[in-house]
Amino acid sequence: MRVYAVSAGMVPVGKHPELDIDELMVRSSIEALDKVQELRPDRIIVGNMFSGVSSHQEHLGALLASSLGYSGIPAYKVEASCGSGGVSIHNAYIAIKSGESDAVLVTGVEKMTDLSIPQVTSALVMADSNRYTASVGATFISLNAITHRLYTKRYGVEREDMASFPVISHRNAIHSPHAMFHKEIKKEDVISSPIVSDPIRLLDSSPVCDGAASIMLVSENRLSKLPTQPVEIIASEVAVNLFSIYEREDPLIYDATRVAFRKAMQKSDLDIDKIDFIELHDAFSVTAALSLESMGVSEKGRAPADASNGRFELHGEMPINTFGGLKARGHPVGATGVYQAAEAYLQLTDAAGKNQVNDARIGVIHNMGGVDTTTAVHIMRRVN
Amino acid sequence: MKCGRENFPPLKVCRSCGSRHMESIALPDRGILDSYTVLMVTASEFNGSAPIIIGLVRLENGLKVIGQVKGIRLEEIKEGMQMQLQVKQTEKNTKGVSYEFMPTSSS
Repeated sequence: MRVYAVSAGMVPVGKHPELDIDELMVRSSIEALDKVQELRPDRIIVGNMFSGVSSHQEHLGALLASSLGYSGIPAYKVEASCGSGGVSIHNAYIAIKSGESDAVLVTGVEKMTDLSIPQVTSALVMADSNRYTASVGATFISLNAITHRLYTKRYGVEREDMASFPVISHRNAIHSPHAMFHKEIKKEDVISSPIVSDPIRLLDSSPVCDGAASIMLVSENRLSKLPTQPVEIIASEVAVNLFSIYEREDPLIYDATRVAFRKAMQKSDLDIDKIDFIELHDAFSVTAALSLESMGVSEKGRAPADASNGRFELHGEMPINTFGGLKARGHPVGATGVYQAAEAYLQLTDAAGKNQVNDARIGVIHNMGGVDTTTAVHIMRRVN
Repeated sequence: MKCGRENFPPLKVCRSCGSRHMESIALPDRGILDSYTVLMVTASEFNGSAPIIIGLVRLENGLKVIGQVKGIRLEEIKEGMQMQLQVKQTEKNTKGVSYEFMPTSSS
């Protein structure tokens, strides 16, 4: 059974004090559903990380179904910290692939801005070990900062080159209607921004924000007579690494990314040079670098220099984060993987406007939970 | 324990040989600081305690542990320093222990 994305909806990422978690997910869901009114989902999956903490609300699957007027269908939340969105899409993919479902609505949602910064920090570190890292005072950023320091020391990476990743993401977000930031930044801005957890600075880091995105997936059975253009999902892979960085032989190898990407490429029978763009999980500058290297897109220690040399620009050899990525579109954690899929859908249906990648045929989406603890990789292909 | 592989954190199942017969060993109390960060923004449970140094220390048996580094000025910290592990009682997790490091006098 083949699996297709047929519509997408996105709430602009930002601060939404006026929308509660239910209203956020209803808004993006209705946008996706209204484009394919002939379809009634037979399953609803919600990707979310910490609605219990942020909104005192769990049970999001049933809540969304109920708010949309559906009952009697399976509807549930999937959680894999910041990878919740990607793992939700994976769940929808296997439901369709198995023949159990023909039309699945996937909605990712997160509401972060109701919390104070220390509260968000406390919520985000739930992605890692409470007992062995959070309890000593480590934060999620601090674990990435430890890998950032290890990385730049081992490979002699230049600070200016690392700053290329946020610069690229901000540039691509300027014309991205759903992005949080519409402001170009320079490498010097990154390097002189306030330290959050040395050597990670504020502009190396994706922002705290609210958001919801939805994508409608269908089987080949339901493809005819739809008014929208389909995009095929040709591979969906999820892999886990050892839970926390201190347990790994080499914390600079993102093994979940490596395995999920390799399997996805094998199943699609593709080589890297066939990829037209990557929506990359650039939660921090170092995350972007290590992800590209673990996929084999860049050689070890070379991704920042490749970024600096223009390889990953919108019209470069391998565009990344074509609508601003986590850094500039924003990273409403549990929703991010669904935003990435929605963006890839726009690229592969020529609906990306000023952000359109020329002749985009194959897009990769890469979404991780924790420090590469869970990684979901999807490969999407234009349908002619 | 069948294959003899040591692990941190303590496990009920060996990641190398799958054995369920695990025994508890003491962690070596010395190691080397592989990497660190000085964090300025803490979680709410640690309000008021920034800046905190969080270190990744490779102990003498090769196992790695994350803990706060204390007893050193921020500007003196650097990779490769010798560290002494101190297991502290804490109320910040359910098992009541936390890991701290101090530079050893020789470093």
